[in-house]
Amino acid sequence: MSNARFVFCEQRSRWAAWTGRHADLRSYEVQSLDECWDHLRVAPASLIVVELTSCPIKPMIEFLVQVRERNPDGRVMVVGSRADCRFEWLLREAGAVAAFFDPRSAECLARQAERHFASVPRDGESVEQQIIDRLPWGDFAGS
Amino acid sequence: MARPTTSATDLVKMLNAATLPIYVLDEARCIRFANHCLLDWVGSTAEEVVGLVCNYHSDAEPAGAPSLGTGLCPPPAAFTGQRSRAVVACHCRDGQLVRRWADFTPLIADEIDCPGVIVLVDRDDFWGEFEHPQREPRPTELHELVRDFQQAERGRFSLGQLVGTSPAIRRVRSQVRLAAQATANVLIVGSPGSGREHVARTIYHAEQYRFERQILLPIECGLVDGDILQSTVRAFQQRAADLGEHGQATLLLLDVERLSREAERVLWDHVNVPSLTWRLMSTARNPRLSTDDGEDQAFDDLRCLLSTLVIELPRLVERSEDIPPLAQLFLEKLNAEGAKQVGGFSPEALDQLRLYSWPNNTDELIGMIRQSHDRAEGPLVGKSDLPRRITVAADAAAVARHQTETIELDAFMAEIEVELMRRALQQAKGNKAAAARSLGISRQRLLRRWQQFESDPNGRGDGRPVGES
Repeated sequence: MSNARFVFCEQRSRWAAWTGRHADLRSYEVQSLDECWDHLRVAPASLIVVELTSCPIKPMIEFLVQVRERNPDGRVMVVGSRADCRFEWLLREAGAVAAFFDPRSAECLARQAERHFASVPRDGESVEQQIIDRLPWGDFAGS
Repeated sequence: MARPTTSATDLVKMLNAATLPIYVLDEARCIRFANHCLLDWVGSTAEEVVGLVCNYHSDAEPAGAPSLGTGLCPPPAAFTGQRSRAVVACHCRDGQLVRRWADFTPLIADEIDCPGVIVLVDRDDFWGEFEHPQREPRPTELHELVRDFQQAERGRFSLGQLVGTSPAIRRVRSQVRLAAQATANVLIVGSPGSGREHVARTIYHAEQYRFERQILLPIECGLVDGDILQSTVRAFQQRAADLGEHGQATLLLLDVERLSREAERVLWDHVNVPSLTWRLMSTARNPRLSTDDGEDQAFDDLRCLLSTLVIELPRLVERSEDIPPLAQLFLEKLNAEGAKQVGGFSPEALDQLRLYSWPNNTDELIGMIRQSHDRAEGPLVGKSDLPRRITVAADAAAVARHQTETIELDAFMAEIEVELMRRALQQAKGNKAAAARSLGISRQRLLRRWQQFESDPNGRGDGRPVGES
C-alpha cells in the first residue's frame, strides 16, 4: 500500500487514538500541512485527517482546494471540536470528503478510511495480479 | 450673531473632499451617497454605485455591480442600531480582490427604525489573514470566508476553463450551458482524470446567476456505506430546506457506480418523492449505469433518475488538437501562482505532447506541466524540460504503435480454474467428491475438467490432482 498512507495532522494525537480503536490501519502523525504535502508527494493516494485546531480555517480551505487540484487521488477529512461545526458545509464544498466534530464519529472515520484503502490499487501490480487478488481464495486453503 | 448655515451641496462638497472612502445606505440597503474617495477605491462611477442595493450574501460576480453590492454590504447588525466594524471588499481595476476594514454607524431615528447607515472605510487595504477561530471568532468571519471562497471558486470553474476547439469539447461546453440553465439531474461520464468533477463544479457555479443562495455537497460514493449516506443526506435535506425557494442545493455523487447496494437503497428512499427540491449531479466512469440483471426495479429507476442529462467527456488523446491551448492555459495558471514566468512551449515540446497517449487525461497533463514549469530555465518549455516518460513514450509512439497490456482470456481463465480446483482438492485432502462439492460442481465435471487440463499441451497445472498419489 505504498502509494496510500493514513496521515493524521493534529496537535495531541487524539483523533489518531480514537480512530485506532476502530480500525487496524497503520498511521503517520504530523503537525503541519507542509508535512502532509511531504506524505502526499511520496504517496499520492494518501488519506489525510487534519484537525481544524491545528491550523486556521483559511489555510485549511486553501489546502483542500490544492489537494483537489494537485493530488486528485488524495483524500482529506477534517476533524475538530463542536465549535468548528459552523465550517462544515464550507469545508465539504471545498473538497473535504468528510468532516467530524465529535469524538463519537471516530468509528465513521475509521469505516471510511478502511473503504478508501480497500479501493486504492497497489503499486507495481499487473492487471492479472489485481484480478487474482480479488478472487475468493480465502475460501480455500493456501497452497 | 447669525449662525452659519450648511446646504446639502456644501455637505456633499465636504464629504467629497474627505480622504477616507465614505458611503451612506438607506434602510433598504440602497447606497444613497458615495464620495469621490470611495469611487476611486472601487473603480466605478457614481452612476454605477449610487442606487446599488447591497445584499448580505456570499454569491457575487468576479467583477461588476453585483460583486460590489455584496462587497460593500454592512453586516445586518448595523441596521438594528448596533455600531460595528467589519471588512468590506471590492475588485480593483486589475481584477484583484482588495479588502479594507470599515466602521458602520447606524443613523438611528428611534429604537425600532434605522433610516440608514453611514460607512467610513479605512484608508489602507487589509491583507491580513482571518483570525484563528479558536481565539476570537468575529461574527462576520464566516460570511467573509464564504464570500472569498465562492469568488475564487467561480474563477476556477468558469466555462472559459473548458478550453479547446475540438468538436467533442464544443459539445461538452454546450451541454454544460444547457445543464446550467436546467434543473434536471446530470450524469457526467468520462475516464479517470478527464475532469468529471471539474465539469460538475462548472455547472454548479454557472447556475449561481439564477439563485440567491446555493450549497454543494460532494460525496465520495466509494467511501460511504448506507448508514453514513443516510445521516449525510438527512443533514443535506435539512440544509436544502433552509435555503427556501430562492436557493438551490446540489448533491454531487462522485463515482456513483461505486455506491453499495445498501447505499443505493438509502439514496432511492430519499429521492423517490413526487417533487425533489434539490438537484442531483453524478460522475461515473461508465455511461451504462443500468444493469441488465433485472434484479431490482428500484435500482434501475434510480439509475434512470440520475442520468436525465448525460455529458460524456472525451479522452484527451481523442482531442489532441486541444492539447496546445490546454497546456498553455495550465502553464499560465502556474505563472499566476508564483514569480516564475514561462511564456509557452517550444514546437518540439508540443509535438511530444501530441504524440503521448495521456492515459490519465487532463490530470496527467496538469501534473506534467507543473513539473516542466519547475524545470524550465528559458522563456519556453523545451523538449528537455518535459518528464522523461513523456519523451520516451512519445518517441516510441512515433516509431511503433503503442502496445497496451493484453490478457489472453481463455488461457487466463483456464489458469484460474486449475488453481481453484487444485486448492479445493488440497483442502479436501484429495477427496474429489468433497472438492467438487466445495466448488459447486459435480464430481464427474471436476474429473472431466481436470483431464482436459492434463491433456493441455501447454501443461497448465501440475498434471495430477493434489492428494492423488
